[in-house]
Amino acid sequence: MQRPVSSLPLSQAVRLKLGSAGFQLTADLLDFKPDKLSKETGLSEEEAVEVLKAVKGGGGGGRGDISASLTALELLQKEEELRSIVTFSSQLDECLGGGIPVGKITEVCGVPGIGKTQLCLQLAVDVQVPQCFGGVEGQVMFIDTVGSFLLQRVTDIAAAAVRHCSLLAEDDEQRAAMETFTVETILSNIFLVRCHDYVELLAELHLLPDFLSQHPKIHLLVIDSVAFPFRLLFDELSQRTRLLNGVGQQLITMAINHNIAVVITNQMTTRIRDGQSHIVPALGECWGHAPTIRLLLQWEGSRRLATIFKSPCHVETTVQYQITPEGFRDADQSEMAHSKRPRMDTDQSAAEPKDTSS
Amino acid sequence: MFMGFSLAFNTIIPDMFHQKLTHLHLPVDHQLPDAQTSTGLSPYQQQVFADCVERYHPAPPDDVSRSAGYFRCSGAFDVNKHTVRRTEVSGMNCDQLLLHPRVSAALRRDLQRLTGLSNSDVQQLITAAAAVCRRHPPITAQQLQHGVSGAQLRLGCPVLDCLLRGGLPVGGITELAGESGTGKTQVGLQLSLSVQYPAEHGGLGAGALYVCTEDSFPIKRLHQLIGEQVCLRSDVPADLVSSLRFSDHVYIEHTADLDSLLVCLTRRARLLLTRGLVRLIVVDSVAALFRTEFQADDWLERNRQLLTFSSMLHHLSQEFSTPVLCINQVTDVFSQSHNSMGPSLSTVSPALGLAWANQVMVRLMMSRLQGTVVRGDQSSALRRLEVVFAPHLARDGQNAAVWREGLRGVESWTSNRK
Repeated sequence: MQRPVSSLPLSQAVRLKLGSAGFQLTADLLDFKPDKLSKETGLSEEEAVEVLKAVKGGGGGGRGDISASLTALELLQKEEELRSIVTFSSQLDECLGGGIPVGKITEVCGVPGIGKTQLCLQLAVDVQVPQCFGGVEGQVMFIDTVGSFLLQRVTDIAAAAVRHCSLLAEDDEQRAAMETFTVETILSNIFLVRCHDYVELLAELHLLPDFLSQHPKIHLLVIDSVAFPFRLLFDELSQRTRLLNGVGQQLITMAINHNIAVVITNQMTTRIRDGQSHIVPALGECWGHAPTIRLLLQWEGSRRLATIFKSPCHVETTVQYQITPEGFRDADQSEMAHSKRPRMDTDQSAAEPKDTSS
Repeated sequence: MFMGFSLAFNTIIPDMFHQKLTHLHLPVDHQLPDAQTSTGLSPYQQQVFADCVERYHPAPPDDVSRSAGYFRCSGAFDVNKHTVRRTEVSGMNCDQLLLHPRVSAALRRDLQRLTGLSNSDVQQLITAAAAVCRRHPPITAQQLQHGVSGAQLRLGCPVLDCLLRGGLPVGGITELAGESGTGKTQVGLQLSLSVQYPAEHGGLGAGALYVCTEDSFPIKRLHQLIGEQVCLRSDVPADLVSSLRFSDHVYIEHTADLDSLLVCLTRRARLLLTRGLVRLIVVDSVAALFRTEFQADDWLERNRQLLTFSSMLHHLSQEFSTPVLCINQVTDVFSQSHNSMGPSLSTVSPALGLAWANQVMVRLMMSRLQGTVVRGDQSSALRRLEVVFAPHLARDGQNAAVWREGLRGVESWTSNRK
């Protein structure tokens, strides 16, 4: 679908001029209007119009991914086929309509220590839950800009997930799936990249589509956190906004084209409004438009709350959750209000017959 | 004044591109601070480049400015104001510019014009540049497990190390906050000694850089701790302990203001780390400089400086796999509703606010409890070391006491003061 310019039915002089201006393939000519093309190549306007007609007339444009339009029904069917990624907190999953949706960007913001990284690690394990348990059975790409991806914690969460699923295994299919759902395989399905500044992050995002094409089983991309490298660009806020817009666009494109869920983490910052200080998500108002769904994690007294505060398809609700040694879980209804996480919690989670993979 | 765009590429870029690009030259500010060479052009230099291309192509085409919005006609760019010098800029510097997704569209046109490369060639160039920028390709977590990672720096007391699940993580900022007199400096000193043990005994086999910003370094206490190391580290063979020359490997810096602190980190810390002489940085304390040097209205400037400082620490920590301990002061919390940063159980919270808290990976707090512990001829006020947040630790605490040999956890006491 990329033809060399020399194969177009044009006169020799025109082809020479195109060649010397640097146009080798028809794909290069697609974005040009006739007046710009004539300026760049030195052709006259009529010749430029002729060139563009020749390009667009034959060869169908050179871009294979102009898809036919879809009806809303087809879109609905497509969405229903995609499973969501459970968070192992059934209340939050219920509010989200099953879990973190695939094909959309979800942002998690909160103050330090509230559990954003814990949620990300939990999702990185949950995306690998076998399909017979209601999971997506995919791999995950984890981009770590902060250095908080610690193997000890990932191993804990993975081991707890394996225990949880093995307790739920009822029939042969599920038992067979448990053979391949072990801590080792979970770790081997997490691809980790560490980025130390925003340049490396941009480079990684640029190379990501190729990586995703090579690994079609990846169904989750986690970036923890997007805010950390970009907040150092405090001098040129407009540049930062432009870069972030570009990042947002790239993430949306990847989410749709490669059928992945994108989860990003954001920090909080203080904003003075009407003489009072409020804590709001960082990176500015413009960034707020990029993610489809925004979750806010916050403290209330000694309780941890998760609020969906931006979503086109969910009601704004708040649920309580807790962070246990097993990972991200529902808050126990019978729990006394104290802030310390229980130390050895294995019997508590074993006794829970909750089927979170609904 | 001639200006242009010069690149020296490594072998990943094919030769034909190299040829086409070498006739362009980039002007750079003649003062290139050390910290910038590893990360690329400074924002100022990027602006210089943008203005140069603007001047080279004075009227950006409409669709370019609409899609990229990158080049602004911000007035005439006076070349003579800036000293320029033709330098060989490494491939990394310009890749930084080529990677901006918006800018790449605009630059593609200009590069095409300047170099005669076609659109797809430029795409290939950008991809190659991104590949150069990337330090490591993605690895799986399983490979991480088998690789060299996850080393930890033990504190020296098995009870406290159990609380920390091994010790301080390598590669990230650990903060220790508390009121005065709770023993934070003790922890800093103890870590400066424990880092010198070899890896099998929980150390990192190198020395420590101790940066004092407020009081002078407690050298007598350090000597006392050195003398009692055999008593504290009963898990290490005594001849190994006595063979280590502890005081030779603790590098002490006194910095009285912010500028000298930043200089110390950029020059001396980097030098010591590169030579492998230190693998621990202790800053005692972080709050002192930032609280005293700024007025209440200057919080914007203070945050800026704080971000610069912490990002420097973070980069050093990641690059050299070095734990960084920052000792912080506390501030009073008056109204519980405003302290939405924590579960609001205590009356004090670490100083420097949300901006600093966002940079910290592990936050620990030391507090003094009522009561004393007696052991032999020594007695110590009871303290509590708590984990406020950490990616791999539960929110938990452990009582401890300060003895002649250092800080030790007190096991049998389960004080139910939650």
